[in-house]
Order: sequence, then structure tokens, then C-alpha cells
Amino acid sequence: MADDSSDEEIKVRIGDIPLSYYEDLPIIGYGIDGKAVAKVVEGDALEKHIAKSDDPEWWRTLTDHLNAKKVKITDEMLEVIRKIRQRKSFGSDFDPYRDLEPEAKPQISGFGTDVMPPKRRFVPSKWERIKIGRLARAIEKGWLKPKLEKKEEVFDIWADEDQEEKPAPPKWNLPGNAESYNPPDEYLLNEEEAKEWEEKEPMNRESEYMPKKYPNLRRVPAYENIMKERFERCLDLFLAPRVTRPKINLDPDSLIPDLPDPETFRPFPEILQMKFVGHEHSITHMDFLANGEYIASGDSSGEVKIWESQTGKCLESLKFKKRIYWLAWNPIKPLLAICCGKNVYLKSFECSDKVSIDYAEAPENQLATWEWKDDEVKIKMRKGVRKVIWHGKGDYFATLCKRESTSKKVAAHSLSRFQTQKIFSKQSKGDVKSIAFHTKKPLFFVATEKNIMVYNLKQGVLVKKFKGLENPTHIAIHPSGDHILAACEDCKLLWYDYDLSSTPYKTFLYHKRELTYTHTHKRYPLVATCSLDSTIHIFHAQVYQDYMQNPSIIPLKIIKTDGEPIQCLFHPKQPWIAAVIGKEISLFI
Amino acid sequence: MGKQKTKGKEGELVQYITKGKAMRKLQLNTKQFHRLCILKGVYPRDPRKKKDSSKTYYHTKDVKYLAHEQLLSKFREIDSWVKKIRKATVKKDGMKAEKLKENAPSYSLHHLLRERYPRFGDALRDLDDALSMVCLFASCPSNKDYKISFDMIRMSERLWHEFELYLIVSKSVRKSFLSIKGIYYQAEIKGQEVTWLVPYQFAQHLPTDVDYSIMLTFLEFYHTLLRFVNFKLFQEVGLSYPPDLSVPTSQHISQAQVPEDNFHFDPEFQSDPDVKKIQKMHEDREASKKLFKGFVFFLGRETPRYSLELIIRSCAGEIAPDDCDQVTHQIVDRPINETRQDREYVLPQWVYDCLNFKILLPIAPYKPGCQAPPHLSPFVDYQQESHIPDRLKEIMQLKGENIELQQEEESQKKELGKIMMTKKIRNLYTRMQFSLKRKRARVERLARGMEKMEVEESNPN
Repeated sequence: MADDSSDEEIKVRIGDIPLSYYEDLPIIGYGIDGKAVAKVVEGDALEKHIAKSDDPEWWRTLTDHLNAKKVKITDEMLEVIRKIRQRKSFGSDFDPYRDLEPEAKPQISGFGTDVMPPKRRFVPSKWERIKIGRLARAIEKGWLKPKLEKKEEVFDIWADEDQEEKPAPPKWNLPGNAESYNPPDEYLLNEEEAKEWEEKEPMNRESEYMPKKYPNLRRVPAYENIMKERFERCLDLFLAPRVTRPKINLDPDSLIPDLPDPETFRPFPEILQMKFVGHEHSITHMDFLANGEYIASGDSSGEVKIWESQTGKCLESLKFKKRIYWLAWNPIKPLLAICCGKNVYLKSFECSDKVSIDYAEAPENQLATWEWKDDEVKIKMRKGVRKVIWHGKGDYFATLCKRESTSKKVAAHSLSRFQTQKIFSKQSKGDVKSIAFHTKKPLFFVATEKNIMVYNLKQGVLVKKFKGLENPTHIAIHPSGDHILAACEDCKLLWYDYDLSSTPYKTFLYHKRELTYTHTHKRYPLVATCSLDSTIHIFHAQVYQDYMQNPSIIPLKIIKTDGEPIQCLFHPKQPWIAAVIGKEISLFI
Repeated sequence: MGKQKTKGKEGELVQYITKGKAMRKLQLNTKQFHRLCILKGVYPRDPRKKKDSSKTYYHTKDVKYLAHEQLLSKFREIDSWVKKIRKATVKKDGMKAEKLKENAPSYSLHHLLRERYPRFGDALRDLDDALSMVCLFASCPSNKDYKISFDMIRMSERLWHEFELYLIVSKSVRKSFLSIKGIYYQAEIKGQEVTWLVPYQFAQHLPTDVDYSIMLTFLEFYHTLLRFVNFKLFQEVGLSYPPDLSVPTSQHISQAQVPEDNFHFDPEFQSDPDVKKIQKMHEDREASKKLFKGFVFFLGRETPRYSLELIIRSCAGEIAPDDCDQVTHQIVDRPINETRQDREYVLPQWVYDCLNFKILLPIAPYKPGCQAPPHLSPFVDYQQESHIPDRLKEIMQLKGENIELQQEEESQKKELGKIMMTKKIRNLYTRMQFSLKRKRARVERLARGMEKMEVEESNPN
């Protein structure tokens, strides 16, 4: 059916103004709501011509300017037009009033029905009136507003920029090569790694995706976690506390202090010169003769060997019954003190100049008995002897016994008087770990588990106490006598200044396992430490007489050994170091 | 006697307020509070001392800043509007409900932009997330349950295409990376590097364990941000906003007036390494702007068309609408039988690799139907990564450059130096070594993988 008729609402409300008034404008007029109504685009003559040839129904299309639309003429309408043109009547089947609804339907009259229509058909509805009244009032009062048109406004918001800068949210990490659709093969996970990746909880995975290689781009599927990852990023942005941590933008190597070149501190031991091979059991201790000519070493089976230090030749061998714990050459005479079981043997050897200790009547003693046998002296202690050390003058030596009551552990022996005596009557608790004589003064150092005690031998009193140790394995006194080095089981080397403080002047932590021994060179300013981590560290340690000047300690060399060194000992005269490693002694020069 | 101190007036903790207290102060529920926080860009803080470590803390200044927000009253208005509609529908006053629905309280978010990004540069810096989000939603299906409306998606699409148009006109795409997640792009806009991820062209799967209301709040804000940023960018290249996207791109390019960056150095400073670096960057930039100049590409149906268009156009190349004689390069991603002599056939990866390395790579390895050489990420800093893939070495050889890696040498001098470190510095050093160690492990893994491959190659059995 044609939808045009004179009663239909006309869109363009321009009144009787001729359409030509709007000829130059893109609009045809204004609608009932006051809005511009756009013209129907007809195109130019060329377009019209194309439309004419393309559209088979072009001829029956008209433009309705007032309603701004195109109207197609139906067959029925054509028939009417044709009849009008021919001045014929419309025909019997044409109803000219078909669009007009009758006001009231014809009443069905008959029995029982009211012939007259009810009043409500003629009187306007009360409720409608109330409703309209209400709406009218609402419009009048401004309660009811016409529909607002949503408008996106956009303008240059940054026309005048502020200078202040706001902190930006943290950026996400940019993708690496592994995320590529076609990564280099080394970035792909192998079977084990892929399995491990899959077994892990998504939270614990190192990367949230599994690297994959696709033969070509068109085969890459959609990434299924993309929405989730973006959501997590969103949560991070507004739920995670933001802390600005100052990032240390620093080359870690720049933290390492710049040391003077070790070359300037030559000589110091560097390379392995030779090995003294011959012991069948692991060596427990060794010592240099005071002039550095010979080395004495003892092993766990009780064998003592004397070596020529220049050549590495074994000169003499001696067998004892029990494990040798300690050996020490007398600093003056070529006399060797050997700890074996409960006994301390004082012995001289053929190779070196023979020293004989004449028999004498040793005074009665509770602690030890002195016995003479051939050319050796045997001092029998009450309990097993672990350590023996000589005083610098060669007359006195001290022993350390295990499992002895605390005050009797450390005993001093006099070679000239064949006497043994306790060093102190009372001693604080704790196992004695190491002992040492002062190089110059009559002082004696006892290292216990936590402290180093210093006794004056003349007065027999405790003079000083150093703190801060943790199970020292060995203490060494610097030849100057003012500095004490303690090698500890907690991997630390402690450097004490005798006059400065009871706490360490410096603590070094560079060994990875417990230290076993530390030694200072008698002539050169060298210090060495060895540890179970198979290294020997050599330091340059220059101490000054001037109290104001700090000792300069400079690491020189790390010697890597092929075993765990248990002792390192400098040559008394040369800048060489010997280390006890298993069944051998290695000499580094 | 001094003034008596009262509790809760001084100290660090007074500056912070727990989330619950903040919400009570603002009279908001969790959802509204989150919404406001997202829009205002407020985030929790981590005070050094906390009363209760299980709680979230906000800065009191931030809460005050939220309390003064004009959106708060707008939110309340919306709340009461929802109630009015409900009331009208329950009372069966359809007309009233209808009228109310027509006039929903409207609000705009653009006043937040200036607060959050006082400078245009700040807005560009935050564009990474905005673009990624908008691109993701541009490829999402609409969903009634999650309230992802069609309008939102249409808007996302429009904003992304507008931005794309800007990139093409200003020729600012610098890097692109085909990853398994999607395609990453990096553009340089006014000196800022903006990186974002566009998913591959599939309808996205909507997982159930995602709170879409939060995502949509972000999206709403990012729409506003991107609209204003686009406006500003279009203004700068002399185009009107909003652009007519139905017009062919070449028309926009011809209309635009891209400001030239006049860049020259005094020859006096030429030897300065920093100046050289900047000059190198400038040369790279200029190289990528005219990388495909004079080339006409014809894109196969199976290739990522929009992405290729963006890159080729922003590198001064042209796209042929159909197969014609002017075509110099045809991009195909499937084996082909017929070839024409007057053009090159390449895989799409070639375009991306050329862009990333800023040179025209040899076409031979990118023949259709064969496995392309590995595609490397342009975002890796090889000074940090310390593993160089073989492909990069090849390309560096082609370019005549070489990248030097920092050689880690465990010299004894370093070991000796470590001994003399103080405890504080040693601790710092060991902490720094931790991340280095992890990196080294990763590099070792890669090196092992390469060795293994070489072994497999040498004896295939």
C-alpha cells in the first residue's frame, strides 16, 4: 500500500515558503523538533544518468522534498494516475476514503442492545486529562526535560602545560626473544624443562608463557591468557602499593676497592716449586729449622722425617709409636721437640749438628717426669700433648695438653733447669685452643674458645684479654709483637692490635671454609692464611712503629692448592711458603 | 614542661589511613571506591611502620584528593537515579521510567586528565596501558553478562584506528615484534617511546575469572584519555578531529602537515660520544621513515593486513588495493605456485625485521613456503642480556656493526679486592650478585642449548 497521504505528518515544517529559498543550503528546512532536516542527495546530472541506466525502477521513483525521502510509485498508484489522465472514474473497487477511520463503528442494533452509544464515547477522558495536565505542569515547572543529546566534547586540554611532573606508573617488562612466534632454537624449552614448566603452579613459573615456534605467521593462534594478563596489570595499577625504591645503578665492580698492584710488593710466594713426597700417612705438622735449611715433618702414623728444604731430599726418618701431633725446632739449636702421645721428645739429628743434652737429675715434678735415653730427652706428661712451642731465646718451651684440668693444660718447661711448671694457677673456663710466646716481652698468649688471654710470665698475672673470637684454630704473633692474628673456625681472620683495643682492629672474611693456620714471616712483611677451601692467601702486612699510622694490609696472592692445606709456614729467611697438604708438603716460591 | 603530646597527631603513621577507614570517610562501598581510585589514579602506599601489616594503607592526602572529587556527587546522583527508575517500574509508571531512562545523569572524565597528566608528555608516558587496553577491547565480542556494550567496542575500534592514522601520517612507528601474544609496536611520539600490544585478529576469549567492571572502568578512562590525546596529536599534524575514517588514508597523508624536526649538530661537538649516540638515533629515525619508499606492496589475504598496512605506510611504502603492475613486493604467507618475474615474493616477517633493523634485509631467506630465519625481539638490550643469537650476529655483519659484550673475567685482582671490602659494601655487593647470577644462569642455559644444537647438526644420527 502507498503510505503517502495528505494527512500524514509532514516532516519539514517550513510553512508556505518556496523550496527555492533553501536551494543553496544542505538542508531542506526544519522539523517539528526544530532540527535541521538534510536534503535528499540527488547528485549531479552524470550521477542521475548513471542511476537512470542502472536502476530499472528509476522512472517510478520520486523525491518527496517535504518529507526528505524518496518515494516509489506502486502499480496501484500508476493505475490511478493512468485513470486520472484518461479522465475515467476510479472504478468500483477503489475506495477513496479508505484511510479515514470511521469515528464510531456502526452499532449493531438489535434486541437487547442500546441503540445510543455510551456517553464516554463523546466525552474526553478524565484520566487522560489529568495525565496531560500533570505532564503539562511538569513541563511548565521544568521537572520534565526534553531528552538531552549526548555530545562528545573534545578540545586541547594541554594547551597551557604545567611544569610539574607527576610520577608515572611503572612500565611493564618488554618482551624478549623467547616470546617471538619464531624464536631462535636455543630459547625453546627441552622436554624436561617443558615438563617442569607444566608441573609448576602458574604463580611460580619463571615466564607466564611457554616459548613456541610456529612454521609461519598464519598458524599463530590467539593467545588465550591475554585478557587475564591485562586484568592483572590493571589490578597492579590500582591495588598494588607503589614504592619507589632507589635503584642502585652501579657497576658492582666499582664497589671493589682499588688495590695497589701486587707487583710492587715483591717478593712473595707465587708458584709451586716442589713437593716433599715420602710420608705414607697424612702429615700432621711440620717445622722449619731456624736457618731454613731443614724441614721436620711428622705424620699420623708416628713417622718423623727430616728434609733438606733446598732439594726436597729426605735425610732421616724416625718412627715413633703414636701419632705425631706437633713438631718444633729450637730457634737456637738444631733440637727438635716432638709431641707423641703423652711424651715430648727432644731430639737432635745426624744430618744437622748434633746437640747433646747431658744427663742431669731433674727435680721432682707433679706435672712431668724428665727421662734421658741415648741422645734424646723424653718428658712424660700426665695427659696427651698436643702442642709444643719454643720461646724465642730457645731455653723455654711450652706444651699444651688435652683433657687436663684447666690450670694444668699449659705447662712451661725450662731446658737449662730441666723443670716443668704451670704457667698460671687459675684460668678462666673454656678449652685452650692455641698458645704463643710474645716475641720480645715476657708475655704468654692463650687462645680459648672466645678470648685470647695474655699473661705476664714474670708476675704470673693476667694482663690483657682480647674478645670477639669464635673457636680459634691458631694464633700467630707478628714479629713486632704488637699485633696478634687469630685464624678462626668461622672463616674469619681477626687482626688485633695489642695496644689499641680488646676487639679486633680488622676482621677479614674471605675464606669460604674454616681457617686452619696463619703465619707471619720473620723478615718480610708477609702474612699467610690457609683454609680448608683449598686456598692459601698471602698478604702484605706492613706494621709501623708509629702508633698513629695504621698497618697497611694488602692482599697479594691467592694460591690454589690441590688439597686442603692444614698448615702453612713461611721459610725463616726466604720469601717462600710451605704448606702441608695430605701426605705431601708443597713449597711455593 | 612541654606541650603534652596526644596520640595519633604526629609521626609517620598519621599520614596514612587504612582502606576501610578511607571508604567510611568517603561514604563509599568497595566497588565505588575502587572505581574512584581507578579514575583518579590513586594507589595504596606502603608505610615503613604499619599498625597492622595485613591492611592496605592510603595516603591521607590522596583520600582528601578523592573527597574533593566532583564525580563523587555525580555517582550519588546516579545512585538516586537508579532508585527512581526502580521505584517507577515497581509502581508501574512506565512513562516516568521511560523518561528517566532517557535522561540519565551524564558525566565526563576529561577534568581528570589535566589532574593526572599536567603535561602532555605525562599522558604519552601512560599511553602504553591505554593503547593495549583499547586494542584488546577492540577485538572483543560484546557481552551482556559482563556489561561489555557494543558501543564500548565500537569506540575502542574507532580510537585505535584514529591513532593508527596518526602513526601513519607522522611516520612514527619504530619497532614491531611478532610475539605469541600478539603484535607489539613501539612508536616514538614527541620523544616518548610508547609500546603497546595488539592481539592477533581473533575474537578474544572472555575468561570467567576476570572482574570486567574493573576493566571497563579502566577502559572508560582510557577512552577519554585517548580521545584527547588523539585530538592533540591530530592538531599537531594539521588534521581535523574526528577524522573521517571512510576516506582513503592517502588523502589524509596528503592533507597533513607534519612538522619537520630540524636536527643538526655543531661540527665542534661531533667527536663527543653522547652527541654521536644521539646522531645515530636520529639517523635510525630518518632511515625508518623512508625505509620502503618507492615500494608498492600487495598483501595476501592470509597476512595480518592491518598491521602490515600500518607498518608499510608509516615507512613510506604504498599498498596496492588490488593486484596491478605497479606492485613491487607481494607479501604471502603460504606456498605459491605461480610467480611473476616483475615482483618479489616475501613472508610478512621480512617487513617486521626490516623495520627493527632499519635496513632492507636480503629477501632470499624470506621466500614463501620455507621457514623464515628466527624473529628476534627488538626490545632486548644485548649489553644486559649477554647472549647474542646467531641471527643477530648475521645481521650485524650485514650492517657492518658489531656489538661488544662485556666480558666477565674473574681476575685474581678482583678476588683480592673483594677481601678488602667492608662488611656493608660486601653485603651490597653480594645482593647485587644475586640478580647477576640469575641472569648468568639464563645465558648459560641458552649457550648450552646452542651447543646441543650444533652437536645435533654435526651428527644427525
